Amino acid sequence: MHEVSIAESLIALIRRHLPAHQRLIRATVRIGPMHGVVPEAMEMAWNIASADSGWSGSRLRIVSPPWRLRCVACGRCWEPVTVDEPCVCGGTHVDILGGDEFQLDSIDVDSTAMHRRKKTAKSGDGRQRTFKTGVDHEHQSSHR
Amino acid sequence: MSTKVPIVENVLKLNDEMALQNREVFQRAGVFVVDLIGAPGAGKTALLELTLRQLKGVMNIGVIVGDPATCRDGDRLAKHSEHIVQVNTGSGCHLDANQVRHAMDKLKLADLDLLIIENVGNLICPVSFNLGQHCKIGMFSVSEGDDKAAKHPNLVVSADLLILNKIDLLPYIPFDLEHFRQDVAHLNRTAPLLEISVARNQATPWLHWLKTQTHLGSTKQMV
Repeated sequence: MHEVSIAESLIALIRRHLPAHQRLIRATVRIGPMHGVVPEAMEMAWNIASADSGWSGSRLRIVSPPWRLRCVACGRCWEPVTVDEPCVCGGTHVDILGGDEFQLDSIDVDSTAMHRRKKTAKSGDGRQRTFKTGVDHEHQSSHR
Repeated sequence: MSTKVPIVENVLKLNDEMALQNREVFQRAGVFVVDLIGAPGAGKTALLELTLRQLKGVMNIGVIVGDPATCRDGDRLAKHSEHIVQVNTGSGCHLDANQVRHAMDKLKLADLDLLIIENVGNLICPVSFNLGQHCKIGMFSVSEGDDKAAKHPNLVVSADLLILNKIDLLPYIPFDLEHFRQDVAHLNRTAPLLEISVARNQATPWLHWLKTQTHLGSTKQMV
């Protein structure tokens, strides 16, 4: 369950980049299959960690790029279903060109959040978890 | 109004930054550090017991050993070395750079030639977390089955050395050794694969590798 640690690390990294007085709407991460991150587990981890950080309502968009291999023997590049798939030429060694991605691509922020936060603060409920939270998971097209 | 802020940084950048600091401490102390990753029951602690016994008087070895609970591994290793730190991670499935930082503060690093970090028994989670080590080692064992390298590509790809333990069990367990070797070579053609049996005291390639690496490490320090 390293998704919890990943979510916490992500929150700390985003906090470093979030402009002052702006609310996080969405974070986009690119995580290849190499890292064994389970989207459903990531969703639960993100919902808890983001709410605890006062970012209720923020969403996590997980972009999942496919494996991309290059055969050492013939140089062919392809996107296998699983990483142990051999090359059609019979080559047994590969270079991994894609699938090991593990990065925070961008954040979407609401620059009007300061105004909203003041209003919320007046109501005395600054950390309510009433926003819809969640994760958008999308597999990248394998046709490039 | 929504504004997109591009970032493009490693998700675990904060851990990586701390790992870099750990690495600098290791460099200054002149200690060679390996991160040993393997499943529960692969024989990691048994390998370290053997290592501490066999290399006593050859080099000073410290161990940071991670487990969710108990000090059992730490107690086993403490019979062979005074430089042992047990870390309990609770529900944590891996060690991170910060945990290692706290653990290494309890060791006299300058007295050590080699520090082995025995990670929490797990083939997935520890792989993504850099600890500041010089080498990452992936350890498998025959009793786990011959498909484990293929099923855990992240470990195989990122390892500098791979170990297959319990080869004494090959006659008794359906394990296709050639298939296992091919799976490893498919993803990582540079890391050596050492086939050993800790139970039979057959770990010479491993001991030789350690001696070579720590020698290289100390040579690097002097350059």
